[in-house]
Amino acid sequence: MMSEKKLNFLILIFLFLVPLFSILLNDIYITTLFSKIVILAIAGIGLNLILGYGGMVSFGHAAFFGLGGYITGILAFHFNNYEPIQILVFEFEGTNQLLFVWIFSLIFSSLLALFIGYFSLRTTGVYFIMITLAFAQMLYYFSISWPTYGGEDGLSLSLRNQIPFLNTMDPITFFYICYVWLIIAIIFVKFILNSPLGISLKASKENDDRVRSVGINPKKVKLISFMISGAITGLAGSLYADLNRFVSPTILSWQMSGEIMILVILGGMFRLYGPILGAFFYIILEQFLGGITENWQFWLGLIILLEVLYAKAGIMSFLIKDKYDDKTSS
Amino acid sequence: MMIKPVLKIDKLSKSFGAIKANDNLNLNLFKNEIHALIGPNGSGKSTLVKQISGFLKQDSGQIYLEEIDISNYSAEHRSRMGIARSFQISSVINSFKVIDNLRLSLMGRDGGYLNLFSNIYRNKDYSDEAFDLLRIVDLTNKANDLVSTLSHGDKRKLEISLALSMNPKLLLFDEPMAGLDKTSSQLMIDLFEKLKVKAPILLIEHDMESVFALADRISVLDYGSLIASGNEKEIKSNAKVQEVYLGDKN
Repeated sequence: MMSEKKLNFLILIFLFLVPLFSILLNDIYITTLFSKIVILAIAGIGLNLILGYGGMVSFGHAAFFGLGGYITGILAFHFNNYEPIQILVFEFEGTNQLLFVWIFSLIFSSLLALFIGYFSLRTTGVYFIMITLAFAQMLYYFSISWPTYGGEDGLSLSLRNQIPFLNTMDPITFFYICYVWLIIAIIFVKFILNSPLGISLKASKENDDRVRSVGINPKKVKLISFMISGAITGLAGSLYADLNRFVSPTILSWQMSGEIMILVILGGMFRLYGPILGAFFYIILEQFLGGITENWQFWLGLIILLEVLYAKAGIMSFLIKDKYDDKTSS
Repeated sequence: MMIKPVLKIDKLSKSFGAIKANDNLNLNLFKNEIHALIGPNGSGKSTLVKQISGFLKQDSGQIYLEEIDISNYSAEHRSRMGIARSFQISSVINSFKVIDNLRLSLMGRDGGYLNLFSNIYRNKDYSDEAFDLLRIVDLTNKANDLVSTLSHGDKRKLEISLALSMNPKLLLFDEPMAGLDKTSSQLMIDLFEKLKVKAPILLIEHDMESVFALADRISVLDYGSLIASGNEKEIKSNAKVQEVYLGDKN
């Protein structure tokens, strides 16, 4: 048992050091695995902003994850083929520069989140879940039937996108690029949670009427938060596409939305570092249980079931002193 | 010269299906006044408060705040204009600390709630103002307590301080004394006497002792219609009011 601050610090140190040691031991597999953990953690932090702190159960975050991935893939595809991207009468060049790829992923994911959120936030509860799921499934089926970018087979990237002065094909370099994004995501969301938007979001999770009676429009608060959440998840999708050098409709599927949601619940919904711990345990369980049985998801389901019944605050709650379930206040 | 009302309700009507919750209501609220709204359960008192505060849209009629027609304004817009309310059932953010509820409302009052980059917990002006407000309702010693751990009476006090934080031009209190013991009720009565100088109060209350102790004017609703309006003496002597409401309360 330790304080939450100490645990958070240990999580970051652990994530920083393990891939470094694994590279020293010439084990690329572990480094790649940790890159995946960090990327899913970023997606989880994005979802947790609206799920844990805003009470919005989005079952369609794969839409943003997948869009980020496809933007990365499509830009690289056109760059490699020297073919411009044609949208109506406009033509754009592709790019393999990560800085541009990230900017495009952030912008388009947040715009998609604005669009989806605008309609979804007219509803609550089960309807909200269903609408977010429906939007994501629309994109999923669209990607399957889009032969230009591989349809069901997906799109391969011959090389990872580039960043000046760094070799992104080097596993440890790519890991630390993802790690830096994780730190940025943590700092950014931490800022938000302490900001006027953050306190309004936490309040509207519990009581819309009170929020309105103090002059705050809860719908606007939720929509802006949904956009930010979508942008962070989209960025994670972009990194995921570069990690695998491959993007396919799978990352737009409802299973992907479920995966992101599960790791958030597993780690701890109401805590900033919960999704990081969740992503770590999710991937480790996948590797460990997957090595023992093909039906590893059954056992994972059982673990989640027990956790939801007995430890709503997730794995974090087992490791820290503060047992306060819903840490929404200062 | 005619005194202009702070709040003017003009021919306000609201129906739920065949039930008329408010029927062609007219009502004024003037400066330095506590105007009590009484009537049997289901007479449309809370519906009226919801319409004034913008939580419910009227079917017809107008609502004016300081001569501005606010009939189509959203609840949050009306709150920022200075219509502050408490709820029939205490409505506060239970998972927050007491002081954070006030930080939220002070920030809401000033706008800028979409700001991402200022730390609201480190805003000294809000902290100082929050403590000043808690002092008014005698809650400073519980500033850092979680609201979920407060007693019913303390939650009521917090609601009053939240209403005051909005720099109110008008205070709407929906049964603020409900569930309070005698001592707490008396504290509220003393507090409201002081508050009416800051902003007039429209008070819904079933405790007739408190109503008669506080109200400068009383209006009586029955089946959504205004059946009487006047001072304590006029209301007590009104035969219709006696018949529909006060008969069993005096």
